[in-house]
Amino acid sequence: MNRLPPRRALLGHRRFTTGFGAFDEGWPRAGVPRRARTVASSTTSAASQSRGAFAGDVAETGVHQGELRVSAGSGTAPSTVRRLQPALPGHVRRLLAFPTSTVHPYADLPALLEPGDLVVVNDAATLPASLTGQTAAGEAIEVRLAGRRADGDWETVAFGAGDWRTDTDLRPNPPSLRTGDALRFGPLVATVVAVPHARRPTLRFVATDDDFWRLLYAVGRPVQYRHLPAALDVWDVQTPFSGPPWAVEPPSAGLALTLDVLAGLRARGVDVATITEAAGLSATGDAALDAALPFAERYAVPAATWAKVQACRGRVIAVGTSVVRALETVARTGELAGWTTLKLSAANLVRVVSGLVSGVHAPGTSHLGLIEAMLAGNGLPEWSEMGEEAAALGLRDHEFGDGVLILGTPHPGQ
Amino acid sequence: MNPSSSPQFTAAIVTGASRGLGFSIAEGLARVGTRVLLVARSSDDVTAAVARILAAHPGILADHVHGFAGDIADKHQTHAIAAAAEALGGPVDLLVHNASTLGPLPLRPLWDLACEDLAAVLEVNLIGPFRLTKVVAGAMALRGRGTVLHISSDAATSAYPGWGAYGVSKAAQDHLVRSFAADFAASGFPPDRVPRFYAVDPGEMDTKMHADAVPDADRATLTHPDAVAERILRWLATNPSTGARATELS
Repeated sequence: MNRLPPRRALLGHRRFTTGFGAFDEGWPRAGVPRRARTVASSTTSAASQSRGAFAGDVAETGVHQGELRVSAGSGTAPSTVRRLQPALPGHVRRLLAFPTSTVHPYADLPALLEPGDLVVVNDAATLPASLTGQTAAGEAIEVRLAGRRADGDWETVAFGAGDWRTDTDLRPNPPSLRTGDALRFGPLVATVVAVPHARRPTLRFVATDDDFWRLLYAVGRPVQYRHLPAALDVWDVQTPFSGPPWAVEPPSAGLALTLDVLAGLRARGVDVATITEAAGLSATGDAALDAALPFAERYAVPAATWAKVQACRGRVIAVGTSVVRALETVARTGELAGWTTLKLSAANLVRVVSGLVSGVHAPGTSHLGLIEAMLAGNGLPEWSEMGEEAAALGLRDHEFGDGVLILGTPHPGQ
Repeated sequence: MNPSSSPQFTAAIVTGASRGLGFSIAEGLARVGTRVLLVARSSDDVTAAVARILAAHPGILADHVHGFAGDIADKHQTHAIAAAAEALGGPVDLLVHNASTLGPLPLRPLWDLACEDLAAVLEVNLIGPFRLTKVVAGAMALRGRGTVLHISSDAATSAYPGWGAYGVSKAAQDHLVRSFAADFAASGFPPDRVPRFYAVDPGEMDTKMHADAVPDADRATLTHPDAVAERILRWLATNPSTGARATELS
């Protein structure tokens, strides 16, 4: 049998091609001076070429090129960010690292960390949380599962007619619901058991436990994103290490990780641990409800993970904001499992997490307060500066876009 | 088996579990305290199988045995099966790929097989199991614990007339076992904590599948699947090396 060349040789310097153009794995590298990788300048001709191809394709697609006003969390002057075509599942994603301000393929994560660091991922599987059906009177309704309560009932957010191609904020209100109403989603039937808010009915599904999971996956679809050109399938929203089906939107920072990258972390001397957190809805279509996001979310931190966090002498790096919520909740309450309502902000700083892999977040989203807390807690610049940088580099924002890696300093006595 | 000792496996998925060897493995696991999700296509059959286990063993908690009426060959159901197992009994640390099809009956030479028939056999015996393994093995790897067992056949190693589609699928499945084991061995995850992959040839058993394939067999010469299930579970308890293939355990 012919031996294959070593894998590293196969995967060495290569040009990535995506549906939106190509860029070179070698561009730009860590250690390029900060000024060198601002928009117009690049250090090599290959870099210019690949950058040109990428930017050109974005312009040609003509999608989401509207100007987006950015006023990042903390009262800084608004800046203008170009909204870019999002990456699709399977496309090569990039990672903008701070404080070095360098761009890397996501797969280079191990090289960006140091032996002794600890990476913590959320192993929640993502539910097909969007259910389309009718009330008893035949009115159209979409229900998005928001979280399962301890008693087995589901908190939800309801919408009227329409689908994900309509902006969530423009969707009509759901039909008026009362306790006892039946909702039918194909073969899956639910009863409204409470209506704490007109758009937030609590549902009890009329099915045995065994039938419930089968029917939910038969009729449910993942929560969709209007910025994507096609509907997502349940296969598109799982991390490669998904376990308990708790998340109602994907813990998206983990989507771009592969088992290869995780193994690479271990080989680098970076330990990997898991938590489970029911990553929740990112939008409700109701300004008042959106302001209350994130809702209470179920979490579980294995004792072994918490022990690793406490013993870590390097940085504790959370993959996704859901991991920050879970770990910071334990840091405050000592409870390894439960429901968290923790909201982090510049006034409620991180205590144990000293690094974060996350998406490129639009201003005004619930993730951003947490990121501001992460940055301020680690003595890093405000998000507005990083957001501008991400936009200038043409990074894709939103779910399935590119990512940021924010590295702080280890917390003493964590 | 001693129900009071802590079980080797916390939670298992067993496909093709409504009868035959799959049922016997599911029952054997439940008896020692493993939480089990039985998967079979027929809702009536899988419900009856769960009821049979609970009725035969009053010591088993009702919440430890669940059924899922689903088709391993349907890509849309892969995540549903994994989710049900995790939600109802997880964390899953054992996956038993027992569901299997012979293809059209009576068995026939390959040249009399429709192209679609071979594809359908591969969907059930090879591609469906690959999909389910892919979905559960990542969490197993991060948890540092997991076993994936495929039920194989001597048709995987010998070519018997009329058994072409089944034999091809089982040979490929055996190689899937070795390939998953090789990928994890090269992955950089700690070798003693990566998911383990096995194939086992159970020998000739007194099952519906055997009767379908060889209608005039003398049943007295066939082994009861309960005995085979017990041998398989005993073999797993010896922690064989990943990638191993066992034949007619005794």
